[in-house]
Amino acid sequence: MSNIKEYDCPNCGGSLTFDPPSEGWKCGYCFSAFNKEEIDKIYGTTESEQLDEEALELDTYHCDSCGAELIADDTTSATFCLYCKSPTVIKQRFKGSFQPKYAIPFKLTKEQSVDIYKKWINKKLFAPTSFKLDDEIDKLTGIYAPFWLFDCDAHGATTGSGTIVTSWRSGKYQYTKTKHYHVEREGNVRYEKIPVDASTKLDDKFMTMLEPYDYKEIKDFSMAYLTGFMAEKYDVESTESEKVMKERAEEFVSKRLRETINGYSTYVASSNSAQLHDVLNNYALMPIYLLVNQYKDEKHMFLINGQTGKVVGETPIDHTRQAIFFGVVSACVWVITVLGGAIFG
Amino acid sequence: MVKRVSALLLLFVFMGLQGISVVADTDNVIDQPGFLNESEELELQGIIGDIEDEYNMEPVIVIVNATEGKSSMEFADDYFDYNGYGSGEEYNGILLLINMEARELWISTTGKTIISKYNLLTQTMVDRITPHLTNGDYYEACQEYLTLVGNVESSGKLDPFGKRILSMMKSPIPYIVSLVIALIATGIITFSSKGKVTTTSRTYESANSFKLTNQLDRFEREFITKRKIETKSGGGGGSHTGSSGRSHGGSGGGF
Repeated sequence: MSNIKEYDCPNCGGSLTFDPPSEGWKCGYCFSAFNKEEIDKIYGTTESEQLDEEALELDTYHCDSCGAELIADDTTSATFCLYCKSPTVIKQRFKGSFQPKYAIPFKLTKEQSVDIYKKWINKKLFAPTSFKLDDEIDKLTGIYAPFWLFDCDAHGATTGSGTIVTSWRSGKYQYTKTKHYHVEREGNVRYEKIPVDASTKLDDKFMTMLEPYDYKEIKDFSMAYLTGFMAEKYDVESTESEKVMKERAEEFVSKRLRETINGYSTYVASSNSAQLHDVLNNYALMPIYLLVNQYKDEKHMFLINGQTGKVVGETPIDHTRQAIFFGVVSACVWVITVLGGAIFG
Repeated sequence: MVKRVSALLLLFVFMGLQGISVVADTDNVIDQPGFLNESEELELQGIIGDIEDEYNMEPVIVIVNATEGKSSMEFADDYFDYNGYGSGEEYNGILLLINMEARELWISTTGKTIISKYNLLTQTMVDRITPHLTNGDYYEACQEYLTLVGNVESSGKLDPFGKRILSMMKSPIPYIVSLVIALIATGIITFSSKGKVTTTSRTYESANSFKLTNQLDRFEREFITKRKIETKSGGGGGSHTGSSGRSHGGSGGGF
C-alpha cells in the first residue's frame, strides 16, 4: 500500500483540507497553508496519472434506504445520507476505480453558501416562514458531483423559405409586397466540455440550471481537492449521457444557424439537420453544495453551484401566503382600475 | 340657481296678482305640444341661464310635432342656426330636439370647441335621455339633458367624480382586470421559484469555431396585394355642415 493515504500536514501531522477562498490547503491544527505546487512537491506530482486502486484509500458511504453512494477520504465522514436524510449509512472501504480527469475546485466555503442560500430563500415570497428559518440549513454539504464533459465537432444545415414584407400607402390604397426567398445555411462548429450530469440522484434539470461553470478554473483532478468534501461516483454511463448531450448540441447548432438568417420578416424551415462527430468524453467533478430539506413529508432538493453561487431548487409553496398575495394584488389593481376608469374614462 | 328661480317665481306670482298677463322669458325652451307646464319651463330656463352665464355656451330645448319634412338632424341644426342661438363668435351651443312626428331625439352641437368637446359624448347623452322619453317623462328628460350638459361643462365628463367611481365599482371590468393580473403575477412568482437556464447556444462553443460553409439567399418570387383604406365613419361623432353653412356635431335615436 502506498503512503498516499491522506494529506498530512508536514509541519504537525494534522489533516490538511482544501480551502476554497485561497484555492490551497490548510492544516486544521497548526493553520499552516500550502498551495498546489507545494502539495505536489510534498506528495508527488502528476497524481492523476498514478491513480490506481492501490494508491488510494477512500471510504465509501452507502445508504441502505436510498442506495446513494458517496466517496470521501478520511478527512470527511458522513453520519446521515445527504439525499434521503436516513442515518443508515454504512462506511466501507472503497473498491473499484475512481479516476476523474478534471475537477473544478470549490470556490465557496460552506458558510458563504449558507448565506447565499438564506438570501435566496428569503426572496421566495411563497416559501413558508418555518421553512425559511429551518435549522436544516446547517446540513448543507459540499460534494463533487460527477459529470461527463463532451467535446465534439458538429455539422448543421437548415433549408427553408424566408419572406420580406414591406407595406406602404399610396392614395386610398395600402400596398403590401411579399418577397419570397429560398434560404440555405450550412456550417461547422466545435463544442468543448458540454457537461452532462452523471448522477441519477441529482435532478438533470436542476443540474442544467446550475450551469455554466467557469472552465478557466478547471484543473486536472487531484485527490487533494477531495479533502474536506465528499464526492459522488458516476452511476450513469457515458453512452447514456451522450444521448442527452447530443440533443443539446444539436439544438445549439440549429439555434446558431438560425441566428445567421437575418433580415427576413418570417422564416420557416423545411428541413433541419445536425450531425456530431469526433465525440470525446471525460469524467469530471464539479463542486455543488447540496441541501435536502424536508417539508410536510416532502423532500425538497436545493443545489448551489460551488463555484459561481447560483442557486436552484424547488421551494415548497405556502398556499396561505399565495392566497394573501393574490388578494392584495387583485385588491390593489381593482382600486387602480376603478380610480383610473373614473378619472380617465 | 334656487335663488334665481324663486325670485322669478315671486315675480311671476306678483305679476299674476296684478292681473297682468306676462309671457315669461323662456326663449331656450320651445315646447310646441305643451308637454311642460309653465313652472317647469321656467325652471329649465333658469338652469339654462346659469349654464350660459357660467360657461359661455347656450343650451336649447325644442319639442316639436312636425319637422317640415326635414330630418331630425337637419331640423335641429337649422333651428339653432336660424333662431340666433349660440354664445360668442363660434356660436357655442347645444340643442336637444324632441321630434314627436318621428318619435326621435337629436342632440346638435355648434361651435368648434363645443363640437369637439361633445364629440364622443352625445351618443351617451342620447342613451341616457331616451328612457325618460320612452316613459313619457318629458320634463325629466329635459332635466337629465341639462344636468349632463352642466356636468360636461364643469368637469369635461358626463358624471361627477363620485358617480363615476360608483359606476366603475359596479362595472365588471375592474374585477376581471384585477383577477387576471393577480393570477398572472401569482403564477409568475409560483413558477419562477425554481431557477432558470442561463446557458446559451454559445456557452460551450469553442472560440471562433463556428464557420458557415454554405449560405444561400435566393430570390424566388414576389406578390403585391392592395387593400382599400377604410375611412373612419362618423360613429355618432364627427361634424357635418348645415344649410346655413355652419358646422354641427351630434347624435340621435328613436324613443
